[in-house]
Amino acid sequence: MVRAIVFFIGIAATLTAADLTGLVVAEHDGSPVVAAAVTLRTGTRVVAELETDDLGHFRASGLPAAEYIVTATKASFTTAERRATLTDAGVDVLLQVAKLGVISGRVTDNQGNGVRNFAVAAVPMPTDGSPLRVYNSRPKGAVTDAAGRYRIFGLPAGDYVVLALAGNARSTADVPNSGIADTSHGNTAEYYPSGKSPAVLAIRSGEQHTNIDLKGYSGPLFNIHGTVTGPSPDTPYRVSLVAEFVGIPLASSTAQPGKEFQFDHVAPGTYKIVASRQIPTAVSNLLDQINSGQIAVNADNQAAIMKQLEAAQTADNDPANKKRIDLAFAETTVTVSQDLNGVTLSARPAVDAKLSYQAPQNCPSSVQLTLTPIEYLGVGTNTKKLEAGVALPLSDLPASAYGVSLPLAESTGCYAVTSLIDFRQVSPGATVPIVVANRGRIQGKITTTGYSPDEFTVVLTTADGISKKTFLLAKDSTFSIPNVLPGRYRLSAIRRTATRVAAADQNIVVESGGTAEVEFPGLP
Amino acid sequence: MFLKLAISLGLICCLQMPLVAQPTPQPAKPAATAAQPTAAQPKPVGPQGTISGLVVQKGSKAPIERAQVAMVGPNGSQFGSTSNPEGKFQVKVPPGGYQITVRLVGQTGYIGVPTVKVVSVRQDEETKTEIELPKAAEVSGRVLNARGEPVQGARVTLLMRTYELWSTNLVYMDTPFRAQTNDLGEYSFEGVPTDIAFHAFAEIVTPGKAEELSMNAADPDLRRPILAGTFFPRALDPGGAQAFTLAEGERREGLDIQMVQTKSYCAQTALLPAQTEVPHTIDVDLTSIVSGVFNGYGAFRSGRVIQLDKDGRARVCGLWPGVYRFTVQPQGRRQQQGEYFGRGEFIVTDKDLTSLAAKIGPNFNWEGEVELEGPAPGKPLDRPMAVGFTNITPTSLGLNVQAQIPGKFTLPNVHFDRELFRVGNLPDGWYLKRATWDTLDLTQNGGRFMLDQAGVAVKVVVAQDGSRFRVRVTDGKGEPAAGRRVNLIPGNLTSAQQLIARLWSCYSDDKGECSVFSLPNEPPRSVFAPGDYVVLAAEIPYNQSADVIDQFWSTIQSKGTKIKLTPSSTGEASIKQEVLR
Repeated sequence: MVRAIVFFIGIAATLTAADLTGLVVAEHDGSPVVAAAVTLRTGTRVVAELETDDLGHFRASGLPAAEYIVTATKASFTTAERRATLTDAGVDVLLQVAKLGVISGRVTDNQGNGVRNFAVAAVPMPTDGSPLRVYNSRPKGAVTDAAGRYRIFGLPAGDYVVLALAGNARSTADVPNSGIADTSHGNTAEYYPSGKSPAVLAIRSGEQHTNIDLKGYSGPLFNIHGTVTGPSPDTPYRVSLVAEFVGIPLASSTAQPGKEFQFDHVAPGTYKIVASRQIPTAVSNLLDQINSGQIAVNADNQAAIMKQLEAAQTADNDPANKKRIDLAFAETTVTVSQDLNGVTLSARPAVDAKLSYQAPQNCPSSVQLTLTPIEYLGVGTNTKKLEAGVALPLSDLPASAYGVSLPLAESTGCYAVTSLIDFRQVSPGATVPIVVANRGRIQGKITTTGYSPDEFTVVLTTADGISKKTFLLAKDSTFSIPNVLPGRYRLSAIRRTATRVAAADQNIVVESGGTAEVEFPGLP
Repeated sequence: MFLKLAISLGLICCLQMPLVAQPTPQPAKPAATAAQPTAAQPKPVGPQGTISGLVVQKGSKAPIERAQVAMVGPNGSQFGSTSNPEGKFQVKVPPGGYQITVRLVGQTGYIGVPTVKVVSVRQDEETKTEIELPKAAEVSGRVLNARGEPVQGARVTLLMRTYELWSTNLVYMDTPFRAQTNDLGEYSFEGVPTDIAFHAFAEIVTPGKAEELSMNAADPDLRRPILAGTFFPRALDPGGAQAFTLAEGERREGLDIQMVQTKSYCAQTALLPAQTEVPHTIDVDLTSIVSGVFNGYGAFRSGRVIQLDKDGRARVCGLWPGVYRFTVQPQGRRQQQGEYFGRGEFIVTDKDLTSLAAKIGPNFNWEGEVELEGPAPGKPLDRPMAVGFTNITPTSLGLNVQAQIPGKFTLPNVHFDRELFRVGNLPDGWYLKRATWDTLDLTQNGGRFMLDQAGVAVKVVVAQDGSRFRVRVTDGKGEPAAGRRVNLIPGNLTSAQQLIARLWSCYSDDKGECSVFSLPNEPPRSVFAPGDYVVLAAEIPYNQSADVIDQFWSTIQSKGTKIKLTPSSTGEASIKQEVLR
């Protein structure tokens, strides 16, 4: 009898075959998530592909003891990933996924009839509290159907500005091509809830906002006519009509230098007109003609057009040609309440300034800096390499306002305090210092009286309540949150099950380069 | 940004050639765009008449603005216009017969397919015509999984049964009607044509990253089941699919597709030599669904595209039981050193595949020789001929070299691909008689062939005894009928499928005559090889569904007129307009 037991244990020690079990729950209410895809990996090797049952549980039996990465995914939810150390005794894993939000509603005309073919966009507000920067903010969108209905889904919790756009341009990012909108509504951007001025709509995890209705403009439409003047006499400008606040281009055209541009069917309102030189001319000319229908692509000419485009692309990729495409840029704001004639865009040359950087303690002497235009310029993000103590001259940016960030330096705990540079306010030849500081960190520990500490997670919320991040505990019930921007936060220790138990909250202050120590003693 | 647009332009190109050549609509400038140089319009010279048209909605007769109007007249001359807010358009043109094609582009609620009308224009007279555009249909439904729950992000496509040159089976052609389901599994289409039997097909299109290689368990039994590409209502195989045809103005709802759940299989194999420096991709798709041209617009279907690793290996997972084709090609630029091209097919049954049969090879130089059949010309030819081909793929790369008659030529750095063989610059009356390559004559299939072996030279034979056609179309009273479509096919065809790439067409001039014929994507031609041909005057609907092709085939067999072209002659026929049935 005794020998038999010893023999059995001996087998188990060499061929451990334990169960990895788990539960996938929704973060906002702790409800089980059914039919979530769960993948178990060791390193990059997939060990098992599972699916949660009707109670959100999953089980992989007979696995060797090892450290596993467990990932849970499901449509309409964020993805959750956790490490789990499987021993002879088995391991039970809790994965929390956040339900994504939905905004839906109708776009109607003055008579209350649904209007089709409006592109509705949900533009995320920056989480750091800075003003709306639509360009590069990856809005999500949908196009209204015949009844004017739209539905935007897959929205992470956060604050959004919702607007309906009509125009002949393709909108940025995920806004599907709206085609040519019904001309009676013109080139226009209408905001929720009040038309011409945006308001912020806060979406919490899993929320569905169903009656986000917008009104499409119906009424007289106007024309804008003008000219572009400025440097670079031999290549044309791309001129865009840009919606105020969000910076999404509604319509674009090409103007030869010193020549005219025109936008037809513009709804009353305030717009920005932007002229830039960045888009390779040969390609943009061709695409303009295709998008406007001047070239109707069909079976007979498609091969030829493809060839033309390839040739244009090749020409634009040619460094010799690229030099020819100067960086001039112009913008003006117009308010349309009647036909506008003689709008003049005076292009100015590229930025003439220098950037400098002094490395604080614990920050690298060389950093990658990204400059992201905060408004639509027709150009994308620009990356620069900054060396401490060496002024970096700039000459390849349109003179406008840019958001500043240090994407690669984040892992070192450094961040750019200088978050915005408006080069229009910088005198020619001046040096702009990029101030960099250390992030802080939070360290803590929880102790419990009943439940296993393993069942708790820690949630860090910014003082304004907008941004939330969830962190897991280490084996010894401690937690460590690196790279936290200096500021005030709320920290919560939460145990989530089918019935939610929020355990404790604490307010903390994180200082530059400092470590905030937190303890949650005596949790249930 | 332009990369994105360039990709979208890539969608315009196509793998399959349209059966039906369509008059090119003269581009119209939409009112909503900014100032642009206006498209060049041929300036009529000499005597003129006027076409005054009115575009209205069928039934209600409400005027339709911004309809694109294209007119094809004598000698292939083209004119274009756009209807104004009252639905009217007016164009001054030389006298003659005109085929007017009207369509709406970019406006929903109407079918984007053309309505065609034929008019006759006399000098100093106004020809009035009214063109009715039908209302389109709408269709919507949901995509559900095996549990009946909505599937988010599924791609739903409306497919049309058609024939393809490269396949012996009926295939299902992609159309521009393509949608993604939302979080409720819903999809919808507007502007759907009402004269085609469509199939709805739902599939999950996962992005194909190289890392995908390891994202599936090695043992198929440990993999999660997948949702297989499914035809409406819940068929893996097109044989079990239900087609649907919509009525004018119809709103069909509840076209729900329940996706079939199957086991997931992988195919893993080395396809290229190790350490191939140029990055390559593999594109895997079902053989039963193909790209095509629908109503003049390309519907380019991309399957799952996965990058090969640096050792030339690919692993494609998430496959359900079925027949697949694949293409291996270099990423990015083409016709460079170190590139490979090739194709293959495989069948997934109930296990993973560890090898894929394919014809893949590096770029090579293709040699050829031109011969002249018949007596040598009295004096030396003053110019060489052109020999070359175009890839019938989205790249549409072409290559032409000069060749003396007789003489040798080399087409440099070509790759395995679907090609359209062509010659040019031949003296008047000369024609390409044969192009022998291995066991094939490349002049068959309208010049389309699969270039899939290196080291085999092509022998091009040209001859001088080419012949011409003069086909006259008459109306019911025996008067010449202008602007009518005359279809021309070789006399030796034995099935509807062989019509692909062999159906020539011409629009009759103001004398009702046709002598210059075109194939889609090719320059018009007036000199043909002596032999047997069949002609039929009949309009062909814009779409190339198998139904239309079958109808045309049965009509030309029963109503077609045979013409025997003897060497160096003109084959004549007088025919009446027929209707496909």
